[in-house]
Amino acid sequence: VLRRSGNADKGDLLGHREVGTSVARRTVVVGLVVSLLFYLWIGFSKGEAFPFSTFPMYSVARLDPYIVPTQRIYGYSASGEDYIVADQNVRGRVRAMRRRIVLNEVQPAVVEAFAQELVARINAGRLTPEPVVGIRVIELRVQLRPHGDGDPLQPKVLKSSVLIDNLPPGLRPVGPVASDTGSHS
Amino acid sequence: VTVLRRAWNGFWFTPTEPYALAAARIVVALCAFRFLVGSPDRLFRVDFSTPYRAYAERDPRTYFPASFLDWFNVPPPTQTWLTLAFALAFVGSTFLLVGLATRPAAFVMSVTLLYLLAMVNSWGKINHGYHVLGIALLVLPFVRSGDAWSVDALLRRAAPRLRRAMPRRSWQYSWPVTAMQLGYALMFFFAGWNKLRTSGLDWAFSENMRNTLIYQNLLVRDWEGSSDFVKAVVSVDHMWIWYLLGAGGLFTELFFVGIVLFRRWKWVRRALLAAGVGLVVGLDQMMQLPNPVLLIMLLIFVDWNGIHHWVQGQFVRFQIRNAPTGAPVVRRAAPAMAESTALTGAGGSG
Repeated sequence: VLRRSGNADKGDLLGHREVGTSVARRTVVVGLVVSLLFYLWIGFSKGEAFPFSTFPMYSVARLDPYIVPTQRIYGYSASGEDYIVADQNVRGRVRAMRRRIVLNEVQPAVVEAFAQELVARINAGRLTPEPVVGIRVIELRVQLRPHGDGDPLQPKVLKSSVLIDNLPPGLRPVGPVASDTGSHS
Repeated sequence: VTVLRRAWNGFWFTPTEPYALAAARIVVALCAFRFLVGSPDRLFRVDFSTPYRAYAERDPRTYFPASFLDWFNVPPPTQTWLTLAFALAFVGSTFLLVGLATRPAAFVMSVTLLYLLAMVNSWGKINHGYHVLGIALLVLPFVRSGDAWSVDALLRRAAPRLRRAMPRRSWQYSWPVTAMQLGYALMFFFAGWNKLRTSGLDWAFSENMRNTLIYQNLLVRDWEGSSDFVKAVVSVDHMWIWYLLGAGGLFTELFFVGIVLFRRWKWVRRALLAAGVGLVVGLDQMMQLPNPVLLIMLLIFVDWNGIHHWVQGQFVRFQIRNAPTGAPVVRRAAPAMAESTALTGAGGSG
């Protein structure tokens, strides 16, 4: 009634007032439709356009036998002592870089720069008991024990290999961790 | 067409009061602070000189710009630019929180925060925890979020000339809240939809949940921060426990959108909100995926207009109860009524 009477911007006695013009509302409708269609398109097409996404995290079911690559990050002090770096941000970045390494999307120089940056970050955040001069990332291929097959908290290590290694020349690691393994589980 | 149009208008543009939108504004500002400064104890020790230093010091070759940073070829960040963006986002968030110069503050904060959010996602790994905040930031600059619970509202009430610009109910207060809520709910929906599309019902009704819990707690976290409850859950022989956890999570993700679609069914809304809170808390406690922003953003689903009325009603009852015997209780007329009466010149009978 208000719109038909031409008093949309004045409102009624109860304060139910239309604010602004119909142009504003039409603009909002167009914006909503475009945004919604874009969001739905991204979501259903497995796209990624921040802040819209298809949110694919954890969508692949981990069925038995579940074999998974995992990484262990060792920081080495100047004396060759090794420390496991468990910081989640560092591990997350290593996982992201690992995907690019496996897909051959990065040059060795980039991996080296990445490793140096991690060393700086580990030292800046004091993530190890003493400063580190290099890191080594060991990739482990691990199988979780299937249901009913032993202790599920003790997975089997099937294979290990060095993923990133930027130890300074001449540094001699102390202890058993050289290129190994699940020994530091 | 008429029915669809009516449904569309009813969904987005049913006139409401401004309190839910004001609450959404405050919630978004709080989430912005969470992103900018981390924990609350660091709020008053913010170092404006070197925020995000680590990003500026990263090797540019490890920079993989995300989304619009890629579309517009935005180069890797420099320390100067990060400091400026951080300062503007921080000041904008502060203004937004108290509702001072709300619209410009929302614009400044949204632009700078969207840049910072995209920038931190531009190093090879995308963190989906801040996407709902990003969607809310796309809405806020275009809406009247400062019409209630804000310094702007107080100033406007004090200045009669500006009072006319503040309606009591409007469609302009309803669609922004609906848009933010839908953005959040669709995040859950697509997460659930992807699980169904990729793995089918096996995602819920298999050993998936057990293996995922072991992976998250043992292989990713080395049991750091994991509770004994999680160890017990992965060690039990009863597979139905994992089915229950998986199905509960999947159901919540897929049907949480009902909280926006069925707004008149209050009990459904409350149940879905409780399930959403349970899901976010469960992700934190069981899968070691803490996400305070997702938790705080759930506050936009609370019926703040209803709460405002309830509090107002309690206040009036308190006034009546404590009024001196014999003294007349003066009830203040609703502002919109008084205002409309003044505008139209009508009066007396109202």
